[in-house]
Amino acid sequence: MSEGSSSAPLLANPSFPSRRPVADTPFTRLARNRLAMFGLVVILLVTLLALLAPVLLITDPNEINTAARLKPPGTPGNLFGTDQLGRDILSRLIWGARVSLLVAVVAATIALTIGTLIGVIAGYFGGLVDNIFMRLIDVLLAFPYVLLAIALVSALGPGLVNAMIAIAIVNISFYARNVRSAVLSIKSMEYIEAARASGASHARIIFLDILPNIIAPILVLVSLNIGWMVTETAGLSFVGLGAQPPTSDWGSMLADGRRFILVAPHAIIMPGIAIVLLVFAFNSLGDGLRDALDPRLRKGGR
Amino acid sequence: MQPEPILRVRGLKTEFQSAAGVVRAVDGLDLDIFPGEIVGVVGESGSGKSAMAFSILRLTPGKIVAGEVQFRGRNLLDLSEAEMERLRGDRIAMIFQDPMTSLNPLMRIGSQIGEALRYHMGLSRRQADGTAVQLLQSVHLPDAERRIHDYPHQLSGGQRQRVVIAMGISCAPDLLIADEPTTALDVTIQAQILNLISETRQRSSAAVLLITHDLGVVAQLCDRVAVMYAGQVVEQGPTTDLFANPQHPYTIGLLRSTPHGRRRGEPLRPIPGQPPRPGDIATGCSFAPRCHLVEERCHHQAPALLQLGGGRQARCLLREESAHESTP
Repeated sequence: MSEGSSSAPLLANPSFPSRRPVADTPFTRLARNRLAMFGLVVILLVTLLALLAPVLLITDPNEINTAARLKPPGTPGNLFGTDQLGRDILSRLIWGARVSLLVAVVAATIALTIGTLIGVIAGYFGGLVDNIFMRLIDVLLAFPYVLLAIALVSALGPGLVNAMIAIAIVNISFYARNVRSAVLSIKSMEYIEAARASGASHARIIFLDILPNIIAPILVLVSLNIGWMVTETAGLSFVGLGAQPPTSDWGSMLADGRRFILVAPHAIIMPGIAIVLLVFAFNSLGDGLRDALDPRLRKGGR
Repeated sequence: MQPEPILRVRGLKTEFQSAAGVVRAVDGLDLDIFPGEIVGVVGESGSGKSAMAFSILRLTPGKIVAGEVQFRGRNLLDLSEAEMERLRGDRIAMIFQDPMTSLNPLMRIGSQIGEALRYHMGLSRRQADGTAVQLLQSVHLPDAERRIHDYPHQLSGGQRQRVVIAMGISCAPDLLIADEPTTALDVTIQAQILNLISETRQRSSAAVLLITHDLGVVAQLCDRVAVMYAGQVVEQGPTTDLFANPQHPYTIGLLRSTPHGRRRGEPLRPIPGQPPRPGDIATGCSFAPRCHLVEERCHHQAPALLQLGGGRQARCLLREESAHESTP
């Protein structure tokens, strides 16, 4: 239609769709999903800002200016205003994004790797192996997530690295259980049996038949989970177990601003918006990925 | 003068653990398959046909408790798991019932066929692709060069079953086990796929073990038939002979309950009752409760598989006299 072809392009052969296929790959499908694209743009933007923080022409996030405390947003030189010590909130948000993203991504990678390993082994082999692994996971699950993370950090000592380890450990159960159930639904498929009957080893089946077929749910899990981990990092910092002063972190910014909520609400609104926006971005990207990666929605089937 | 059977199953027993206790799905099965022949295995649902097939490949979720499976002179039940993996898909291949679910939806047709070629025959990716095209051509899938780049969902059911068959014969197996390969297809496609199986057999000289509950399929395709009931072979013989002159009351019942052109106008007579549930412990003949020729001794004495001559066998006490006549 848009290529302006010659006479009566559609009516000439109404029973046949255009022979020139519209590209239909996971990428094009993701690109058509506005919410997911919005999420992706936000994530890329935040990531870019975080990576470029050292070279951006912004004020030092830790520079204290007692004369300009709790300035409202829009103040010249302090676009998002300042906090109770006169530090620039925009600058602290950008530097804080480094902390949030780094902790979330590294923790998610650790949790994903260990959780997937456990989930695949438990789900694929079943029986006693499954029982042992899942009972261990149940023990992890018996604790409320946040409480367990707090307990772990308390034991390890406060700090970002320990917070990251704690968040990773807490989330292993999330990946293990979800991956296991994904594996269980794939395992009962006839093509797994067919692969066994054609002489494929267990390892081959896990890598060629099981893992590719659970990548879609895993990607969605990761995307949703990273959002959750951003919240959790902020949460640990909020209670003082994550980033230690003067490191700027969205959670500690919330904690600092809390005391001035009436006189300077922007001090918590700004980091609050940042957290909500990033978490929302990861969640919408996760949903979009799930829709895009399902090959059964692909055209050309009969 | 009889050649050596390629597969010789003796006294195979496979049990499953269920909530109701131990269930014996295959109960002392004897079966011979000779090179290049198509053997049909028929029986009702739950008669142990599939359990037998999976037991031969040692892929049954149950436990093989007794018997032996001689394949080219080796007992498969003695092999290590690694040796079995080398054998599966290479010397014994299997075709599954539902072509909609027996292909990995995320793997292109070509790679899927090529997989077995690569690990059994050590072909490179490129060689495997070339062989995959040839295989698809041999199963009459049009446009094979392009089709190897397709995903399974882009093919119709019949086309997928052709792909599944191409995968089955990819390493030129000595034995091809087809577990109800046409059940999920509509009738015209069924006929095409059956022709393809028969053509494949002629070309590759593989023996085929065809599991089905469709007596018409058996009549059309098979050289010999084994009738299964309650995990045992109750009658066995050359197809035409067996259909013309069934010896076991169960086979007689099966044939009477199937429509046939020559008996037009006659009512179909179903076999009364239900097959025994695999958990039921029976003394005597497992078919006795449903048999129209049943005698008192049938309830106490378990029949053996009798040689009736002409390659015929039947597991029925009433045939003992003819068995003596034929084997003096």
